[in-house]
Amino acid sequence: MSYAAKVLRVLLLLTLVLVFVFPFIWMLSTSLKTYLESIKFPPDFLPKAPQFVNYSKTYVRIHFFHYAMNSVIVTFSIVIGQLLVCIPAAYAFAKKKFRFAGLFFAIVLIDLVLPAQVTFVPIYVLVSDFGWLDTYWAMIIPFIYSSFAIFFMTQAFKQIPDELLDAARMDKATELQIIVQLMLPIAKPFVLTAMLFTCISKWNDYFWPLILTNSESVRTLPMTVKGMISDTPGLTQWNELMAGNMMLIIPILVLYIAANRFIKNAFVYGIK
Amino acid sequence: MRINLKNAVAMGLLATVIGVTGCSKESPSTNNTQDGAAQNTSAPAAEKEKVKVDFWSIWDPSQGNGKLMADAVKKFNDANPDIEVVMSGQGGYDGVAEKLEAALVAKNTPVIAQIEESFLGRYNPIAADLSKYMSKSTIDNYIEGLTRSSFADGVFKAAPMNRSTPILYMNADLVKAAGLDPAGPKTWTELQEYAKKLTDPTKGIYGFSGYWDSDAWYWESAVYSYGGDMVNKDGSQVAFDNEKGSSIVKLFQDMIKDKTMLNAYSAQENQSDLIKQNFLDGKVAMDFDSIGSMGQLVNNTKFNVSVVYQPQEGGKNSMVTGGANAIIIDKATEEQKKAAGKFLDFLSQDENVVNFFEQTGYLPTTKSALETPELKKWLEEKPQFKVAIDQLQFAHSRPWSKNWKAIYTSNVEFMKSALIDTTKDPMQVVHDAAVAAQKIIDENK
Repeated sequence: MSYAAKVLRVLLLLTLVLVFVFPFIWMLSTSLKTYLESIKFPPDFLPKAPQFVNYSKTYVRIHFFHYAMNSVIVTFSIVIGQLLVCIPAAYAFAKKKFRFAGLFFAIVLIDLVLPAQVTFVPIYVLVSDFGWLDTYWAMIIPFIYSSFAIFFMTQAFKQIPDELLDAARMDKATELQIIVQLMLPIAKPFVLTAMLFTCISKWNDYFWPLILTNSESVRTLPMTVKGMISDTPGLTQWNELMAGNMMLIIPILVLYIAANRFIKNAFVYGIK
Repeated sequence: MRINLKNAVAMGLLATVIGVTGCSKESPSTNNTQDGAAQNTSAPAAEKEKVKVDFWSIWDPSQGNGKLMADAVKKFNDANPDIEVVMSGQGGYDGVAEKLEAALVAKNTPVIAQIEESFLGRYNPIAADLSKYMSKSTIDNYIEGLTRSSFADGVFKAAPMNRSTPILYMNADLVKAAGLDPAGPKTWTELQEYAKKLTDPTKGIYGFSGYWDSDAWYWESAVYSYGGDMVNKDGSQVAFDNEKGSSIVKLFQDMIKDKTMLNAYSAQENQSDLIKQNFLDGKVAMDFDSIGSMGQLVNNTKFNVSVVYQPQEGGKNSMVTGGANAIIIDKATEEQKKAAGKFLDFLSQDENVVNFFEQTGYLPTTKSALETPELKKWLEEKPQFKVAIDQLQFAHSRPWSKNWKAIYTSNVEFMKSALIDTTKDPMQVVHDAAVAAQKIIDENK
């Protein structure tokens, strides 16, 4: 590649990075501004003096620790639940022959395209009948099934040659051993990617916790951050709101950076 | 194949165990705290149980306005040991509305819901007659302009809570310097003349600015002030497809074109903040905004701010109010409804009304609160608030239509488009908005 082409490529990539990173930097910069700076027009890019106090104020204002703990409990439980439910399901779809397998898989695929708003009344009624409204269970149990995770992992498991499984069976491995000791290590990037997607979407989820819970005791972090938008027009403290958003996304950002390699592997290389 | 079946069953069992243990562990406490309300009828009163009143608020009880409300709830619960009001935030006006829809299907409704003023058109069938559960003196004590949207077929169904109204803010120093009457413009035509004289391109000063917010509330208000209306009496026909509906759009477009009005739509999505900032900087001389912005606009300026009635053109003043009212859901038990009524009575006591007004800037809701020495002193020091309260005598009820929320969301898009592209014919814009709105009404009969 010629020197000019290289420079052009780097410039293009840098521009793309800027486009995607800019909103994040903007959020960070706004979270460090004073209130008057945050509503100024035309806006200044950087705060005159960074107001780290916004973070400590917001930490207290949104009861960060309480809500973050709830978020951790809910997100972690869903991820574990999905591992227990979706891996066996994906394994069955990928490697087993059973009656109506095609039909069941089609149902999973249909569920994949249904928007949440379509299912919201039936799930609400179901959860309400179980007496689960306003508990952790309402936010966990309906979501330990994930059509995306099943579909994604089925595709991964399908890539693993049947010969390997046959060899394991010859060695008298049980089905559970086959899943845990053979399939999972090979499909690790896929499983981790599916779990990470679940983590991100459940950590950020606002709609379901709002619908399925009433009290602060079990509600999650996005709900309290949303509560910072005042209902009186024009009185929103944008700087504190952005500090709240930063605190909301930092855990998920750290997780993403840590698992970045696996996600790339899953999408670029597949099963090696 | 056999192994496969065995494993499938094992996995199934595992999932069930997770579910069931979860259920058994948590449900008893749930029944006591939350479902108790719905199941009160079946609970035999071995010892006198507290009457639980679930109260769905637009605010999060831990912050800001919600915290004030939560404090009031606590005070009420302490004073009434036989009642427990349980307040929970439901994510703003839309959140409460969405959850109410779901709760109605699941037959799991709260006892009190704080709903946006115009939503009574939708929830009227499930709202209780408040005059049965609140004291007459409380209902009669509400400031009349605030209760115009509280009645359905002559029955009082919605108690005013946090309420506001649009008003015209003026930079009194600029008005004085321009040699204009400090009493301000009475009509929209006069407002245009004021704006022309106040505009100073050399200093970058615009005479006026205004915007349509997320629910076209200000546009609606202006239409009433031209003598127009949004819908007919029973809400079945759109009534703004005429000059009364389009006049304010034309006025705003004209003022943008001759640069006497700052066009907040030329820049970004944050119209309200953009205009306020320019007003605070002395770059906008008159701002048509909510009374909810009063504290911010009056306290943060280095110049004098005066407040005058929203202008009119139809010969008499008329404006909307906004904010939320409380309804009691009729399905609750008689005991719960009585307790809920008592709570709403409590919120309307002078002390609570005055405190809420001073802390938030929302309008005081009762007449007697205006007579308290505390509020009198406050209004003397900040006469701007008095103008807003006086203006309530001209308040118009919100449009009475089951699907007004969908309509105002549609309306605001059309109105925005007229200010983004000021060459659009205002009559055509309003006509298109009316067609879309009529379609919503017809499809949801």
